[in-house]
Parts: sequence; structure tokens; C-alpha cells
Amino acid sequence: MRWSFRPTVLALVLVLVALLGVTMAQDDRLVIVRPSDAISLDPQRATTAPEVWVYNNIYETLVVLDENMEIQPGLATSWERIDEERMRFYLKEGVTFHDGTPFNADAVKFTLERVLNPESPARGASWLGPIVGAEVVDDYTVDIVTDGPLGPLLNHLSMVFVVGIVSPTAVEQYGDEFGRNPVGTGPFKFVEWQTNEYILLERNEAFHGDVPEIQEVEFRVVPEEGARMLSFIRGDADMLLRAAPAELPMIREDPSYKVYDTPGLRIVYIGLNFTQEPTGDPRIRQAIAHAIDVDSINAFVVEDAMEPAKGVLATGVFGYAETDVVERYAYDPERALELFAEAGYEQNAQGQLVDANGEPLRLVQWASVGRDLKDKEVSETVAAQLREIGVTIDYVQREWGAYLSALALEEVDYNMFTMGWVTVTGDADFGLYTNFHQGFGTNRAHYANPEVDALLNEARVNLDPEARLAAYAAAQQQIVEDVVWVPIYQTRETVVVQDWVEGYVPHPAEYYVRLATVTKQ
Amino acid sequence: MTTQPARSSWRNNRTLRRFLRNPAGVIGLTFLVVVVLAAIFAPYLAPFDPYQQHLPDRRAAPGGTYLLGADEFGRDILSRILYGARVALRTGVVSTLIGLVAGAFFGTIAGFIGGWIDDLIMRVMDVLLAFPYLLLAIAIVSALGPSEFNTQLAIAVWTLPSFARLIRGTVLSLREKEYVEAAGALGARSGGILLRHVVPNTFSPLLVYGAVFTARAIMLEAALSFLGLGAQPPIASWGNMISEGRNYLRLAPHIITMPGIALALTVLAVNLLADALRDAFDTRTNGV
Repeated sequence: MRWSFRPTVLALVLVLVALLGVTMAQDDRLVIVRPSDAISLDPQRATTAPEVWVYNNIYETLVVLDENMEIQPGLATSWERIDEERMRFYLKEGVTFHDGTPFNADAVKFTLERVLNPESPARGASWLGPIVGAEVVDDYTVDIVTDGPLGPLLNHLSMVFVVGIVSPTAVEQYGDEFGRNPVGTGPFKFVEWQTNEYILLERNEAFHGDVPEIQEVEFRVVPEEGARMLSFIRGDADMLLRAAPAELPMIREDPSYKVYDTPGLRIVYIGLNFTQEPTGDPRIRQAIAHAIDVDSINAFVVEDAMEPAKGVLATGVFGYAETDVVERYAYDPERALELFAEAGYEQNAQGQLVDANGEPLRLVQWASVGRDLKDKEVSETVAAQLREIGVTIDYVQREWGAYLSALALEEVDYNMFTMGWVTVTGDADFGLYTNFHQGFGTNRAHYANPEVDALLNEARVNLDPEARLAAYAAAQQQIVEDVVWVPIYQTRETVVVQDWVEGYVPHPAEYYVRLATVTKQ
Repeated sequence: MTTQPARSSWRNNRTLRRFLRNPAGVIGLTFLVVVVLAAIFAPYLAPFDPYQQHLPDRRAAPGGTYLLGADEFGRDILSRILYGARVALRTGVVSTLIGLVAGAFFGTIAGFIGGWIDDLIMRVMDVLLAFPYLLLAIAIVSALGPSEFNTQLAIAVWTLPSFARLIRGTVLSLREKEYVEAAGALGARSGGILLRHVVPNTFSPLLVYGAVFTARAIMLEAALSFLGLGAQPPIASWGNMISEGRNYLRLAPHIITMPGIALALTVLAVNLLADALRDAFDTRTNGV
């Protein structure tokens, strides 16, 4: 068979050059492996970690919550309070969006209206509380107006997943497709998105701050914990989000990796439903709290990768106050049985808890899969611990997306649910008002205590930090006494990188994977 | 009528002898008997409660207190495999039985009556067969909600057309046999012919097919459980155990290996048995 020599050599050379090109490109590309893909990159529509990890590098906010939980200038260089209901922001000049649109007071007003407009699909309006809008003073001066005073105003404005400033022209141009074509002012701009595979960003050469050294960032999806660990350890990825806790000790000892660790702002808890019997009975709730062995869950299921929770707020949040939750509900199955007995449930000959008619004590437990670290395993262990003392558990487990939509239904039948809440603003308002104020959408325990409502309202409108702290402390103790949640762990934000990655600054809020300062050696 | 039992016992003996000469089949059968006994007597054989967590002993290596090791919750893997055998066999047998009975029913009707009824039934079966089986099962379970019975139902729907086609073919060929024609000529009613002369002769192919599909059903159940569409946790099913062991592949490979071996051996045993049965029953190879 005759074949031509020259074309073959040429092809080989071409392949080699192509391969070389790929490897060279890889050196400038930071690859991050993460468990789940974003739903949308529209900061006013998609608000959970898988989205924010990506787009907090695309969008910016007026003010920024830094890694020490201090408010720093962002797109606003300075601000001053005009009166109780008005704060004036002076904007950075000469900033442009990735599509060339100039950033100015109109863009701020546009973004805020996009959030607050009841017609818009934005999700964050309720999270902004009494913020009612923005008024343009001049091109680079804007007033944020509230209905009554708002204590944590600056913290609220740091939430990139609510008020990340978007390009008005791009929003108009793409409409509903904006979430697939995000345009902000941040250090990286959007390039390409292959659903459930990767999202590619490239550096913004025109960034108004320090232009990143890294050329490109690839957020790759690897859902399986085992596969994610393997792909990182093989060296396919530079950065690993959500490492397997059981493997962390080995990784920490290995000098070829660096582990960034910082106390997080998320509490993962078992919520108890007040409107679904029998968990409406405080004795039942107390008994459940005594029957759950939080310490062994933390030691053996979470593998000490997180901190045992010390309340319904993470300790780093402004407004966190010490309560007696840990001592009050120490693991004590005997005490749990006494409380169940007081509520009318005794163990029968088979060790099952039944009421006077022989009906078993039945609790419906909902468990999420794949959102919080070891969420499924935590739920399964809680179920096993309750079963051990005779509770009949109807265990329902769902993948995260299905779980979240099921929780939002009008009719829910759960007594217990596993959930996490991250107080991203670093201010108790965002952690307490949302979860414990009567009628609030994310108050999934359907908890209603007028005393707590009054305290939370007071803390929200008061501008005096000391008075706010006092109100929050009282509210937290009351919430503990009412047993709304059984807090399991407080996150520790762990990001693992290869030893050649430098300059990463970990942030307590799990959302903020900030890549502008990262370099590859 | 007097020749019937004699002929039958002669056949059974030939078949039995042919079966016993096949060592693979005997090994398969022996192993299956062991699995069935293990499943039945699981509560007496299992050293631990399969649901009892021993958190401090999580991922304990095989040997010592836990013969086959402990899983990520410190539950005894041996006990869970024994209880898992119950789920596997129950699903294998129940789903195959449902599929077999329903398939035999439709197949017999189609083959014996023929005409447009035959066309209608067999086209429906063709449609079912056209679906990739895993997709079909996933679709059915997703629609009905994951539970053990729904899984069995989904698997049964998948086995149904194969049984129907098999029986229809057998019935069609039997219909032309001399003794069937003779029975008709002697004035027997078609219902009687069907029940007395046709249906009994479909038993041997059904037995072989049933054994093969039991093995496949056990595999499919494991696959569905692996995807979270089978028995729900904490029920010990082999597919669940394999699925949960995935995350500890590097750290504690025994969590995934042990139920995997149990599954592989059981399916192998059923397949060996099915092969041996086919050889023993197969009229094409017995030289008659």
C-alpha cells in the first residue's frame, strides 16, 4: 500500500503543535472542580452557592464584605447617611461593564428596580427588607432609600446574589437569556457555558482594579464526591470545592496540596415543623432534641470537618449570642423517653413508642441529598437514632433541586427536615428574620412567636448596634427554648488547592470564592 | 391417557440426568440454594441488626468484629448483605413471576387465537421491546414513585413482552402438532385443548426463560437502587449498598466490594443454572 510520507509528517507536527498549544493554554487556566452546576448566572434570579461561586467573579456590589467580615468599598468609594431613611453612595468613576456600557448611578438604580419590581422574576426582594429603591443624584452619586431605618443596610447591599450590579443594556438585549449571557463589571468575564460540564470565564483586561494574572477560569462539574477527589488528586484540577471530609486528614498531611480553612457562616440543622402534629407539641420537640446525638454525628459522620453548632446562627455573624442550646438539649435518650411519655407515648413490648390506643409515634422526615456536606448521611443517622428509641420514621429523601421545590409547596407533611442556612450578609437580620419571623417564606418550621417577631422587628429598624445585639440575644434564647431547630454543625469553609496555586483568600461565606488574586506558579 | 405419566417421568429423568452431568449448573444451583437459605434465615444468621449504627466503627476493615467490615455508618456489612439477599431474591422472583404470568397469558391468547388479536397484542409488545429497558424502568419508577413494589412492577413490565413472544411462538408451533390436531379431531373444545395439551408444554421454555430473567431482574433492581429508584434507605439492598460505597472507594474499598461480589456471584449462579437448564431441556440438542 502506498502512502505519502510528507502529509503524515505534516499531520504529526500539526498534532504536536496542537497538543503543545493545549498544554500552554492550560498553564494560564485555573480549573476548579465543584459538585453541581449553576442554574442561571443572573444574580437576581439564582441565589445559591453553585451560582454565586461563579458569578461573584463576574459581578460586583456597591460595598463588599471582606474575609474579616468588615464592609469595604466596592463600586462605591464612600458613603454617608443623609437621614434615617436615606444613605448616599459616591460611585467609582471610569468603570465599564464587560459589554462596554458605562457603570453609573443609572445602572445602580436599574439593578435595584430589577430586584424590587414585583413583576420581575427576581428572587431577592424580600431579602432586602425595607429597602424601597434608589434615587439618582448625579451620574456618580446615588441614594439608597428605605422605608424606615434599616440597621444592616450596608450588609444587605453586599449580597452579590441579590444586588450584584448588572449591565442595563445587556439585560435589555438578552431578556430572559441574561442568565446564560451574564455581563457585570467584575475581574472576570463570561465566555462559554456547557450545561453540567463547565463554565469558562476569561480575565477582564479592562478591570478597574488589579487585572488578574490568570487568563482563564474553568468551573468544571464533577458531581460524585469520589470522582471529584480523584480528578483533583490526578492533577486535572487546580482547586477543589467540597472535599470529601473522610479524606481531608490525608490531604492535609500531603505537602502537594494546600488546605484553606476558615469558620463558615452556615448552620446545618434539623428543622421541626410547628404546624404538623405531633411536632406542634413542645415536649415532642424537646424529646427529639434530646434523642439526637449531635456530638457523634459531628465526630463520625461529618468527620470533624465542621464545627459542632453552638446555636441557630454561626458564631462569626454580627448578632450571634451564646445560648444554652448545647447544655439544654444534651444527648440523653432517657430524658427523651420521659418527655415522650409526658406527651403520651410509651414503649410497647417491641420497644416501639405508641400512644394509649397503640398507634405508633410516627414522624415524617425529609432529607436533602447533595446540598450540604453529608446532608443525607446526617439525616440517615438522625433517623436511626430516633428509631433506636422506638420512633417510627417515614423517611423521604430527595435530590436538592426536587427537595427545594417540594419544601416550597403549600401543603407539606414533614415533621422534620434537614436544611442549611448561610447568613451571607454577616448580620443576624439575614439569619433570623428569614427563618424565624412569622410568615416569612423561608420560615420552613412555620414558627410563630409574637415575642420573637417583636424582637426581630426592633433589631431590624434600630440603628444602634448595642440595642440590636441585645434584641438578637433575647430572640436567640427564646428560639432555643422553643426548639425550632436542632442545630447540627456550623460550616468550616474548606478549599483545597494544588501547591502551585498561590494567593487564594478564603472567605467565611461559602458563596464567595474570589479568584482575582489567585496565581499559578 | 395411560401413556402420559410414563412419558413424562421418562422425560424428567432424562432431563434430570442431563442437568446433573453439567457441573456448572450444579454449582450454580448449589450457590443459589445457599443464597435462598441465607435470605430466609437472615434474622438468625446475621451477627448484627443490619440497621444498627455503630458510628465509632465506621468503615471498619473486614475481619475482627465485623467479618466483612462495617459501612460508613458502622453497620455490619455481612448482616446487610444477608438482608439484601432478601430484597434481591424477592425482587427477582416477584417481578419475573408477574412478567411471566402476564406474558404467558397474552402470549397464549395471541398464539392460539391469532388474527387481529394476535396482531394487536404483539404490536404492543413490540412497542415495549423497542424501549431501552433501563429507560423504561426509570420512567415507570419515576412516574409511580420509588418503592420496592414499584421497582418490581417496572421490571415486570420489561420482562413481559419477552415472555409473551416466547409463549406465542411455542403455542404457534404446538398448534400444528399431530396430537393437538388429533385432540381437535376427537371433538375436544379449544379451551380444553389449550389447557390440557398446549399450556403444559410451554412449561419447560418458561422455566429456562424465567431463570434467565430472574438473574437480569436482580441486576436491574441493583441498577435502579444504585440510581436511588429502588428500595429506599436505610433498607439494605445490594444496589443501595454499592451506591453508598462509591464515595469511599479510595478510603474503604470493602464497602463497595462486598455487596458487589455478592451481586456478581448471585447473578453468575443464576446464569449458570439457566444455561444448564436450557441444555437439559433443549430438544434441539437431545438428538430426538
